Amino acid sequence: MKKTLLVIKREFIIRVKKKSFIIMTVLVPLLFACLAIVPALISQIKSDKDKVIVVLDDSGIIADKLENAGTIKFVNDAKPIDSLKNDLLKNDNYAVLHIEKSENNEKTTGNITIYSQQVVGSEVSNTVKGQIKSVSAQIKLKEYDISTEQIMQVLNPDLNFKTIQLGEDGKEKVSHTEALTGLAMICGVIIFMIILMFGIQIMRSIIEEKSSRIVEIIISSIKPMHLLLGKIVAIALVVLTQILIWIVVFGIIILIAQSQFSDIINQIQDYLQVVSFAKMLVCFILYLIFGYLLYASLFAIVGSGVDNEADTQQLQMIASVPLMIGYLIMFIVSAQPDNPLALWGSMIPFTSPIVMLARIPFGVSWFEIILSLAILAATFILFTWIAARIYRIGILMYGKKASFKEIIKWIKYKH
Amino acid sequence: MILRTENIVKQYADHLALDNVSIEVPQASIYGLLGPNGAGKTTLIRIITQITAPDSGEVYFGGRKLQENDVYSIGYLPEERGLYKKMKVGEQAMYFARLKGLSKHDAEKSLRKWFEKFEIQAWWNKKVEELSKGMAQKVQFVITILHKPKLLIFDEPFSGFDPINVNLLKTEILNLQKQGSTIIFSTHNMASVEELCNYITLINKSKNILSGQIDEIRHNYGDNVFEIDYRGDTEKLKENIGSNYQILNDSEQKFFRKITVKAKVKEQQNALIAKIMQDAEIVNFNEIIPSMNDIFIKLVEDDK
Repeated sequence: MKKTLLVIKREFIIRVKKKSFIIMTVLVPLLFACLAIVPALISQIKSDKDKVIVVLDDSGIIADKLENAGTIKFVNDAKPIDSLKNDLLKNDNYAVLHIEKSENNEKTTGNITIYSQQVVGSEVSNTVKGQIKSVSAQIKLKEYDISTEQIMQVLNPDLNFKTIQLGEDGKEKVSHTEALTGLAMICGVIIFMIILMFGIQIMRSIIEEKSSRIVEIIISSIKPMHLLLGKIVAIALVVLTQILIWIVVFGIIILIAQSQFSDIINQIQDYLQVVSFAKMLVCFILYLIFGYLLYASLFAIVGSGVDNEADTQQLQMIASVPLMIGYLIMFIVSAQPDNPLALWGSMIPFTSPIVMLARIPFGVSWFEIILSLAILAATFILFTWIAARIYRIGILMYGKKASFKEIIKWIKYKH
Repeated sequence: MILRTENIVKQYADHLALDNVSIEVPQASIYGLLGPNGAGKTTLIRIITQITAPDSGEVYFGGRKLQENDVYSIGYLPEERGLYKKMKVGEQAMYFARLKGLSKHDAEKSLRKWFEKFEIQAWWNKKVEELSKGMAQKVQFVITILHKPKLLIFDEPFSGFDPINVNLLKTEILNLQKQGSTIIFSTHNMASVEELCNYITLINKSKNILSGQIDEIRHNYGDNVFEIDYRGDTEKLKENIGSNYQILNDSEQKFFRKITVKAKVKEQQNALIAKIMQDAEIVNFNEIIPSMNDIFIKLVEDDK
């Protein structure tokens, strides 16, 4: 036990001190902060200066109806287009908008051109296009003698759409399908990423000790089982540390820039209304830990079977394919929560950590959850046992990649 | 006997790695474990260090059955050895020392002492990847002996060292023996076996084919060949020693003649000396004892 603690301490410290860990820990919240803050900054910068657009409207039907939008200001001018263009070169105006007369129809426009000394940004061109379009449309509608209000009613009927979930006691509950789908996906993706990322770390760590030939020195002092256990626990602690740091940092960012995140906060409150927060949290933690332990032992088996990383590809695939399948089933769950695939996926231990978590927001009985957790726990205990047996033999095998047959044989060796 | 193995059998899937191997290692001896590649030496060592377990047979350590805690009393330097490349030398040595049960304080004190002795203090804060192979092996040697184990097992300890460091290591190994440690020493270098070992075991094809004190073995494997430097009449000498001896060589040296004879029947050396003395003066009398190298090759070849 004392030795396992030593191993945990070493494996933990070495990972937390790694550059990649520090970079990940700092960079992710930083990126998040940038995503939130930069748009705010940009919106402040652009309000500085007005963009004056000089309008020459030969058709005479548009110019009066153009409205200033934000920094974009329209100014009418009747001078000939050539002199306007010359003026533009000399003054500070942003652009000249030339609306030509249509040859055959008084009520429509001809060619429309924007002249500018700079590249015209999408904001300006969209505003101009949009306004001209809607003005033209209104003119057309008038021709057909239909009022704008009537049209708007046709296009945007005022529907009041609600989905109500009937509880067993007949109680009605408003179900927010979008919020549920979002929550299901977020949980599934987080579990998927953590399991894959840290499963591979276990594998790498085993291979490192094998390929540097250090393992024989270590296991003359400590039982392979204890060494493996130390590794698995240490890496789990690293995961938890990183997640904890992120939660704290995100929390601070959200508190500081509350206004920027009002959408997210509202959404979170939405989720909390629908799902029992405690149920979700308990399941998230249990499935994360059990799922991690199951895949940690699978990746430990892969690491024991090879002695350099180049050889891992094929075996690593086999270990991560079930996880990928779970990931795919998760998308089906969010679209069709009652699909039989969702039920099976949430019971089969290799996919259940992802699939069950994605199902829970849509309502899963405790019985199903406990059954699924029990299957998962039994499987990870079995696989940890197998992994330990393969590990103690595999770490001493150098030179060639072990075949499946050999790995199966290792399980049966007496120790 | 500090260590005794009794009829150790270890079967791997497709081959028998050890077949009823028994050895007895006396206290405070240097014990050579010899044998060709793949004979089973490493498997035997791994059983003694409890890295793997035998299918049948027992290991006794200090008079009782080998126990889990005995790893604290054994130091093992494997042939395939390495260190964590990204870890600092001192930090790493501390880790291994503590895995061997030393307290933080004892580990550090002892490490500082050994680093000073080997003049490697400057490496304490270096990462292992900055060290050369020989340097790293020095660190590994220190790590192996640090916890003052009663039994030390070195598998090819000298490979990768320059002659100066080989001498340093030999001196330290002999020092450890003087302080009461027992050393098991696995190597293919027969010269160092003759130089260091008191006892040997030769393992070939998973079996112990020869065990015993090294001088005794060398004498037992002598072919009864004698080399005599003398002054006197060669013809008379040949006549005197008679037909029991085959003359292998006879040559004129500067101040004497040299003759090499092989006894066809085993006879007391004094009898041979007496026969020669009748008509010649003996300058030098030598029994030709085979080297461990010769014995190794002969036994392994004969076993084919």
